[in-house]
Amino acid sequence: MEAINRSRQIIFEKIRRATLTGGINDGLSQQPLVGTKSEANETSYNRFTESLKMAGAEIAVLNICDIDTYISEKFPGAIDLRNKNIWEDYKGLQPSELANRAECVVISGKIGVAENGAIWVDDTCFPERLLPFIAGKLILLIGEDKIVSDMHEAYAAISGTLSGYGVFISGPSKTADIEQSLVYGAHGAISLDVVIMKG
Amino acid sequence: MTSHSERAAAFLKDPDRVSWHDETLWIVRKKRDRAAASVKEWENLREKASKLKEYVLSDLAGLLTEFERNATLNGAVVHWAADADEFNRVVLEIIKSKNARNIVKSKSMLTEECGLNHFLQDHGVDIVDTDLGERIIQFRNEPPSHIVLPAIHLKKEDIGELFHLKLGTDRGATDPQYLTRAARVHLREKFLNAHVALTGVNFAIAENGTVVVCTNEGNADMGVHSAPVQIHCMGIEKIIPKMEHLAVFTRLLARNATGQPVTTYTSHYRTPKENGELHIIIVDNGRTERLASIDYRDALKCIRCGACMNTCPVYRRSGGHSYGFTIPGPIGTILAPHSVPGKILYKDLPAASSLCMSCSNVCPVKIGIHEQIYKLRQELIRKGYGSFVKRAILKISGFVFAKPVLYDISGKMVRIALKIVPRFLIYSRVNTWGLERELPAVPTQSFKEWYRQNGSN
Ligand code: SF4
Repeated sequence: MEAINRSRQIIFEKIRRATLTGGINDGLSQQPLVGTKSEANETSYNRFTESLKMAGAEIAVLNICDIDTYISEKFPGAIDLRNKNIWEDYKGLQPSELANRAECVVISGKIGVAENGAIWVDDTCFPERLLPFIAGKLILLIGEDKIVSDMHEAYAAISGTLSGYGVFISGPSKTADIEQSLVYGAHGAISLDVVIMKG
Repeated sequence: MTSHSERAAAFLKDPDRVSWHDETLWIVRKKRDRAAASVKEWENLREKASKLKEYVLSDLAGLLTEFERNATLNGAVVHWAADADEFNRVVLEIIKSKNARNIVKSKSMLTEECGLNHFLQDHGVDIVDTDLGERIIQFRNEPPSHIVLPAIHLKKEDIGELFHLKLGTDRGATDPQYLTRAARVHLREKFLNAHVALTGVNFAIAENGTVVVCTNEGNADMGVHSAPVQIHCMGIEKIIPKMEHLAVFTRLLARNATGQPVTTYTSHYRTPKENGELHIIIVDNGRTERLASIDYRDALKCIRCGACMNTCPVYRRSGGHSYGFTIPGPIGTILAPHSVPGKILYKDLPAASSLCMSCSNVCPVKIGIHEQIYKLRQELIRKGYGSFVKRAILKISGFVFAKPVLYDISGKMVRIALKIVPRFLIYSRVNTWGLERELPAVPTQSFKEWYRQNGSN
């Protein structure tokens, strides 16, 4: 610990000296982000679904009242994490147990981003952080009114409410490490279904 | 030690592979162009990203202090490492204190830079790279040849053979989907039994002590959420002031790297999991020396998107391993010579560039990469590291170019000389340029003479 604190001191001392000799404080200020916002013409909704398709996700658009039936018919046996009563069953489970039990998982997302199809989920959406990744099939629900235009709007919404862990998920897990051939299902979910909720 | 041109020559022995490498990376470059063009405010984003990074470099001490304070409040343990050796020892100490045996790692160029894998192996700790490309090259005991596409130098036949040996896949099988599935099964077992998970860091946010990691495969999250102990390793320059600035960088990073609008997972780690530990190791290893250098500090703005490699005509045709440095391509070229404080290394790399400026044109944080390469060349010549022949030629030509009459006479002499001097003298070992090339046919008159005759009408 001693040695590490000494390194901390040395590093800060060197930064201070570099900053003085380098003169890099000259004329630099924290930049306002004017002009970086998305200027796309299309509606957020259309761009969102386009981006999701590009990212390899399946899309369904449903009225809220039809969703339960849709899920139970299309994904029988799915673990529906919208129901917080079942969270206790999964808390503290070993990864291998989670792997055995969570083949298909339903999670309610908080923000959808039009420009890239990413959906924000965080600690308040699931009982264990591993669940969105260990499931072979992932189903994310997102309200139509939760779709924002770009990452600027998304982070503006998240900044104040960031919990212990959060992730933007855009499509199923993928890799192209073998000759640049795209393969879904590298380590995380093999498929992603997104249900956009209307009304 | 071999030189860049010798290693490039080894890569060039297989022309089909070189063409494939060249074309494949060019496709990635074109995807990047399409993604960039689809964002109207692209240039503005680049400008903001560049300015933000400059701001960061101007206030590193303040931002790191703020980050440390907030990360500690979040329940993270922050460690500092002055150099590679100390970084490796900090990691080993954490592993030892937990009696951990199974270590998984997701992509981190910093751990490559510090030689962490070999250090741990020497101390009896087995560490498994979990990014598919990284696992492939780990099996082959090779360094990555690209910072985003680590196994881009390999063909599926190479990987099929490797997996047959290491993972028992069918002999001769080369289907990427089949091979990827085999790796998934193999690595899943590693994740589920991991005691410690290591990751690199793309961005660290000062205002809330969060680290951000971007992956497509989901391997960072599989490891971090499976293992009770998570360790995030970052260079001091990874810090950014605020959460809102992430928007600028996440809009640029994946588009510029692979042409995707965003990586599949953009993960924000703030607090440890229940009953878990979260460590953050902040590393200097030569970065403060670079910060003190007005000429070369801009390289610290790099967000490791890899675009300068994909676009570089030299990189695409010589392969990542030809650079011999952890980070290849144009950005590697400007990092390598001053990578160890007080020394000048990799002196031949600045010559491995055509100065076409394509790297600077695609860089999302507007590093003047070609300018730095040019500065390095000048510095190396000044310090006497240029090759003897080149220096002699430059001296003589400097003398000749300064005197028009001498220039005219010597031009005539060369035109005559090239015709009458025997071939073995012109294409001798002194003229390495002539090893792979033929001189153009010698004109009978100089441009000046031709212009005097034809220029006026
Ligand atoms: S120097 Fe620029 S283009 Fe090259 S990897 Fe870094 S950020 Fe990307």
